[in-house]
Amino acid sequence: MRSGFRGRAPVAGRIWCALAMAVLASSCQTSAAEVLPPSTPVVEVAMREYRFDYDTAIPSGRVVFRAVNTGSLLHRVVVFPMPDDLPPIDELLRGSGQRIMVPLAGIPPQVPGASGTFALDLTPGRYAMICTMVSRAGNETHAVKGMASEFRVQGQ
Amino acid sequence: MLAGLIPPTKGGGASTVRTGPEVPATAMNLGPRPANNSPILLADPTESRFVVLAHRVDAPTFGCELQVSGDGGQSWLPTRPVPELPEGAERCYAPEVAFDPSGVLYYLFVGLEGEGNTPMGVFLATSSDRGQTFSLPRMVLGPHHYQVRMAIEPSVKPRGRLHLVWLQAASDPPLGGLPPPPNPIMAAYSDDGGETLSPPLQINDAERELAVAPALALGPGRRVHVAYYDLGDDVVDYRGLEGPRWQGTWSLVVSSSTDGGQRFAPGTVVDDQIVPPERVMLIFTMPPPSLVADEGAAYAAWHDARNGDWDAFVARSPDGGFSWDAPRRLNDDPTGNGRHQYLPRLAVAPGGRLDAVFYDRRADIENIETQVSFTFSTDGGASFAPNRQLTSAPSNPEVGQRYSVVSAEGLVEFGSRLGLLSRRSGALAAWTDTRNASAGRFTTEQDIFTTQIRSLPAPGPGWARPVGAVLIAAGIAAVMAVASARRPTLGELGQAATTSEGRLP
Repeated sequence: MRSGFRGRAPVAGRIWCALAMAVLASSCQTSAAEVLPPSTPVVEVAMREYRFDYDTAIPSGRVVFRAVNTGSLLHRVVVFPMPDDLPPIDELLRGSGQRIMVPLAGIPPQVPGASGTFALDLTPGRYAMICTMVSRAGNETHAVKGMASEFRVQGQ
Repeated sequence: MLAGLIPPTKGGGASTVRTGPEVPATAMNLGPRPANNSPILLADPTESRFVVLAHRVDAPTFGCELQVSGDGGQSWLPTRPVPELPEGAERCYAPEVAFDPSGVLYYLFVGLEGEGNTPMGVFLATSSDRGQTFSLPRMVLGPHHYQVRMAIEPSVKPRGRLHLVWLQAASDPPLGGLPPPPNPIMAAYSDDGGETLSPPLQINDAERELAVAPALALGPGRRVHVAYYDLGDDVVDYRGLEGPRWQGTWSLVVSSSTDGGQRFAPGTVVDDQIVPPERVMLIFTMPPPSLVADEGAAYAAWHDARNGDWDAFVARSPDGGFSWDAPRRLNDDPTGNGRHQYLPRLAVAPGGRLDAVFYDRRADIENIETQVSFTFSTDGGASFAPNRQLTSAPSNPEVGQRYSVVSAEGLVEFGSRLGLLSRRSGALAAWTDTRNASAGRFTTEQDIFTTQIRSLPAPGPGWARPVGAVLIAAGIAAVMAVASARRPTLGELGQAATTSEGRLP
């Protein structure tokens, strides 16, 4: 430290420096080495009978999904890529034709109040989120009852 | 695996310790979902918010990856440390990371070739922009180098002294094992960022021919410590031969240098009653002991089956590696209860608190479902806080890569280490996690999760807090007095900031 503080009040000078550093660190990031990776966006998903609630404005890149069961039954979430030539997910689930869809990711069933989390590296495109649990009657999935949703990831 | 049904916490004595959310550090959607394991955590010495997590990939093919964080490990982004493999390398494996004193990130990996995944070279890539871009990898060691470890001692200017330790195979190894000895453990260092290496030194004592799984730790005063297992007469594991678990014992040995790695003392036995927990999966992925060093002391941790089931142990050296106290058990469940604790990982926080994490199956009567536990010591390893469970959902260690080698028939690879980064009043832990594996045990879907551990004690001398409070009060008074007399120029503030940032932990 070569400031004029040295000969006059070194302790006070150092404290000044620490305070100044905090200010400068937030305003003087100029070189690439000073750039820190941004925090990863988190999509909070509420699962309940029979719907998902979440913000569908999802960016591309690494995204963390955190799904909380706010309902009273077991629920889970599974994410699928949706090619553009497929009909809407609701129509697809209720249709008679069979399509093989490979899930990207998901969480195991969560009891009421519990949550699960997973990360995806998303490319721009169309995706669907469904709950694959089967109702107590055993004849319908929660997805068919309404726990199916689409979102489109935009490029950055 | 229902998260809400799992008992949340063990060990009430550590009730002041808080944990943050469990965060996935790896994405689940990379084609056929990979087996991510063996994380290592490291913080940039010039910017503690920048943290890196390097890890191995065991399936669908061998690979290595790197996740980076700009918020101290609260979230993770992928980066590409090896966008293009070096000529001749078909796969990247077993990554290690280190920072030099100026914050340059070093990423080391072993290049594999052929169906047998033969190590064809050890490569080093660097990043000067916090992982955004990397240099082309350059070869630092040739073929047949296994179990390579790296660390950088910062006091050697300007780039630090880069230390490497490895196992040098004499020839192409048999499947799952090593060729007949000598296959020594070697060490070398570089003061020019890995461009040139010092003449390699053999670390293991000549009479300890079956030495494997080195670990490397740097201490104050240019101390360098290398730990390794001496398998004794266990040629079955060493050569990757068929057969049951070895019924003899191994030894854990540490060899230390006090001159920055120019010479190493003969090995000191930390413990010679190590009962092998199971067959070694692959001799070149065998988990090394965990080794750390602090002011004056060094600590080594491992797991073994001396009590029937697997327990995690730690031993302390009070004199920098030249003698070792009797080992202590890290896990606090009843001895011999048939539940495993394994793969302990140590880290030392500024101020000397010793932290440890390990896999823990105590909550499962069938000894399968695996949680992660944490403990710490503020008295140099003499005693440890009650174990605290970090995970809210168990993992299944039967999810992972199954190798078709006779030495490890039926065993599943769950990785060779956990990650732990200790800070003054907290820590960051990373582990292999299968809570989201989709199809039960016969998959390879391993993620890596992390969590923050907060409110840990920051040890220091007993007089430090009151004296510190007095100094702070005096400092504030002095600031007010000086501020009224003279205001510094912006240039002076900038100079001060540049100088101070270089000293950040």
